[in-house]
Amino acid sequence: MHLEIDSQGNFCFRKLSPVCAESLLQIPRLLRSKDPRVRSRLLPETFSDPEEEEQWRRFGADHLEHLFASRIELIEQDLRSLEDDGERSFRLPIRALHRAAWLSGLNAARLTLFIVNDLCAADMEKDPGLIGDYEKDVALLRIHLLAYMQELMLEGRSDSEG
Amino acid sequence: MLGVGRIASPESGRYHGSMAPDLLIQCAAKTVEQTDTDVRSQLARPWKVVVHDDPVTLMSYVTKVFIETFGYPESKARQLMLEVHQKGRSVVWTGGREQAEVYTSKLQARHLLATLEQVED
Repeated sequence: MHLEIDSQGNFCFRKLSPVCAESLLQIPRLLRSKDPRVRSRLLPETFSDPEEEEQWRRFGADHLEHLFASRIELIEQDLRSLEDDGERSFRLPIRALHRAAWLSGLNAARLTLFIVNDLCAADMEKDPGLIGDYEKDVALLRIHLLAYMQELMLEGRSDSEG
Repeated sequence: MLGVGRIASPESGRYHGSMAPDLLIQCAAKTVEQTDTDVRSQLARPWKVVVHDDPVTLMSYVTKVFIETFGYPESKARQLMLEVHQKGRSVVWTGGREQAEVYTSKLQARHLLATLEQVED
């Protein structure tokens, strides 16, 4: 996998493996997860005082939910351009304006995979395949693949800013 | 508020009937004044934006979010990120409540585990 950035700041991931492409296609579903553990991580308790917390939720949670929903739409727009790059690899163009949505979306997808697969902090230090549970190992592999893409986008942006 | 309620309450056997009316009024006034001071003091106390560690979010991403949210130079953003990573949490900003809420919302929008705490007296 590698990332190209054009003069307008548009990204294009090339040579994506099938498992990577499949992991990307799962992102919208992950971001729409209704699992209460995921919701409480993405909309965390903010105040220790219950009254303050209730007010915060009343006014803040809706705003964040709308933001998350519009972020999913932007990611889906780009995912519609995911296409065969030849030799069992894929390419994904990502518009420059969608950079923030992708960086946050990749993070949320990784958090969701971690939570719904009951992974723990120690698992994150292991290589995929060494947990000994197929579902968890696949989830860990996807978490690392998405992290690598996130890292490439962060570095790419730093370079163009520098 | 609790003090005023106790004095004014006819159910309160501890105060009702055992004080002269003038003294009762003086006590009530003093309590109101004290309560007012407490509320002002509470409102004046600044708020801390706290970011907590999680094992998934990339360190480079956290640093970038701090730079983009607070406008911190990379060195400061990185130092705060390392504090989150090593100590489990870091106070990343302190100030007025309204701005603290805006920052917390921005951090949560990027999926950082951010909470708000009022500075102790």
